[in-house]
Amino acid sequence: VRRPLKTVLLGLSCGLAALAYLTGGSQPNLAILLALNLSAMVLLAAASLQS
Amino acid sequence: VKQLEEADRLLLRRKLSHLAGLTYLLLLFHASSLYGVWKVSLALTSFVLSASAFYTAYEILKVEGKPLRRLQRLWRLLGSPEGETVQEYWNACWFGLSITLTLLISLLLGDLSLTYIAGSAVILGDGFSGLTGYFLGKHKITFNPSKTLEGAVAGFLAAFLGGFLFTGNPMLSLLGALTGSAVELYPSKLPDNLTITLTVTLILLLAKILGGIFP
Repeated sequence: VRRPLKTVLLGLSCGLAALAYLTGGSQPNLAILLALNLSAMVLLAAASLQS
Repeated sequence: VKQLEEADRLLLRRKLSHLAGLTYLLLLFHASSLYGVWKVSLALTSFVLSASAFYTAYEILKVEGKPLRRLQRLWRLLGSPEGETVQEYWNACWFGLSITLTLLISLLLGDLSLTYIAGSAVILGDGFSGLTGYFLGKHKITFNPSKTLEGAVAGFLAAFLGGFLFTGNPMLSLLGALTGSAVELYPSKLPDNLTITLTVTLILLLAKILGGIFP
């Protein structure tokens, strides 16, 4: 994966994780799972674009 | 002719392994009454996340020039040989991750019907429309020649019936099945499993926020 794309994907993962944390509110466990799941989706998109 | 038959067999296998996604919903439905929703959701989410991580690791190994032959044979058995239909074998991961996203959103809202309806739309809708279209499809849809009218109708009915049996909510199931069929018919390069699940979830979420349809 090229460098700018990597930066964008990293930013996107962090952004999504933050969003998940904020929406989680009183349920931090769910927010962590949501963040993990969203990051996995971003990574999968990156991997499928690369191959 | 022989090549075409091989492609047909692979398509059938792929659609059948697609329907195996139903075990996710059935597990959630039955096990959550035994062990509680939270525990079952946690187990399912952990499984999907580890499986996706495993798959990504496999892909990295393949790019590095160390493919795992046994797994390649397994993908072929499940209907997705590598190198020919490159897009197909990502679909299991997309399904797992998007249905997990829906499940987590459902848990946040405290209402699992979102997961059941979105899951039915993607598993039953997509699976049955593919199988029916393959066996009985005659009338091609004008704006998307790879889909047929028969397949679309069967997919819609299966998605509606599945959603209704899981949730007992006819209005919401109808909305989910309609949205799922519409997204399925729309010609798009993005993976079906991702677009159908996310769109149905979003529409049902809107319906819930706008009110009236949810009890």
